[in-house]
Amino acid sequence: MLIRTSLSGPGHPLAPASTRRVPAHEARALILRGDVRGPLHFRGTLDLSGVPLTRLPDDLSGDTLNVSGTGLTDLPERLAVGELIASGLPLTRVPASLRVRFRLTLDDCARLTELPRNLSVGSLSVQGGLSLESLPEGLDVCFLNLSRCDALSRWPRQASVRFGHLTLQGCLSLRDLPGWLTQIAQLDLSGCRGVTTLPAGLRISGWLDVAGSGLSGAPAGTPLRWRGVQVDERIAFDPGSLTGADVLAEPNTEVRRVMMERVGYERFLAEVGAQELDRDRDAGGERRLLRIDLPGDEPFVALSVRCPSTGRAYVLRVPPTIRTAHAGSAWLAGFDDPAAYAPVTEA
Amino acid sequence: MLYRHGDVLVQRVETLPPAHPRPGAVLARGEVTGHSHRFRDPAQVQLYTAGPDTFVQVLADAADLIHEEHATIPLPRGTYRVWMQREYSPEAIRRVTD
Repeated sequence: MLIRTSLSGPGHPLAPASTRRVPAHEARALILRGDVRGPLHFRGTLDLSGVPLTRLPDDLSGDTLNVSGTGLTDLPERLAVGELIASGLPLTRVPASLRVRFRLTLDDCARLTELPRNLSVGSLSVQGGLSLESLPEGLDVCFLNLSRCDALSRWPRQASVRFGHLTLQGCLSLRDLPGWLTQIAQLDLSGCRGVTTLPAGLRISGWLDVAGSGLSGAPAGTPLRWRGVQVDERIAFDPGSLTGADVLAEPNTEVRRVMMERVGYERFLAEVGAQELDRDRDAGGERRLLRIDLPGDEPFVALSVRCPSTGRAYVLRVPPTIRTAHAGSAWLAGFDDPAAYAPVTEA
Repeated sequence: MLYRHGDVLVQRVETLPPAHPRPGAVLARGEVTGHSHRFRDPAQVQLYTAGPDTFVQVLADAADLIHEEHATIPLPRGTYRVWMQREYSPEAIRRVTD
């Protein structure tokens, strides 16, 4: 497969002939001394991750640059690299002069609101871009990861994600997919509650992950997944037809886990009959710790509680080593030591 | 002081670690319902992101933490760490991730 990138084919120089060329470790020393004058080209991986930086020199080029966790608020002008890893930075934008040939990683840049128009790179990852509401016009990538981009709601009129993977886990504000999306290998829509249909012309050659999405069906023959586990159409879209007995009869432990989730723990427990390990009361009312032995797998141990606000019962799975209802509540709240868990208010 | 608001936990802390301010007043949005755990008056709070953690500073004497399905919790002035309840799943170690 030919991957078109922002710089033309192999052998294209990343920097003009007049540029100073040094190994990455030498470039690192020069940059940390503040001793870079004019364009600098490095060979290999220049790892500055975790080093507090206020700025990088302009006209930097090279193979792989990692500036994650440096605190940089801006990327330098005319940065040209094969791979750029710039995660966890307080960036709000990326300069239009940036050139990345293969992979651009901007994960957990929670303040990022803007990417440059016509951004072209093999792989783009913007996981956890909590402030990103839209993607730029002319975006051209093969692999695109937008997991946990909570605010993302608008697609560009023209852009391209071709043949590769589109990962949209937990994009809660998305309501649709763009019409220009026509062929893709893997599409992960897990948690995209607002996405209820797929574009008519979309072909998916690999698999479609539908866990917690708004989809109620998929084109016939599309391999389906539920948070990574291969499932059939009945598990994905018709969980009401599954019974507790169906769950226990399923030999694959991963598929069985998804089936329990789809049936609902409450109905599952009611249909198969659970052993009560412990019972007590807390601010929310009665709590019960329940156990079901699963063939060929660790036991299913869960806490059944009633929400003090809504009055609804709900069931949450806990580690099978838990022995008391209080320890189960504490574990769910993130406490490994049950004694440390004592909320003043529950609502 | 630890508060539980549905599946959101809020605990008073002494100091705010190095963190970036974050806009809005929504702590967590329900995947299924679209309902959210949020503060009634956004002007009374400032949210922060510190790595994977969320912190909130209550700037007024008290700020109401609200949700469509849960009783309101008034949080006194102060700094709090916010996190979501966890749930056990063997998938964490066995999950297909290709």
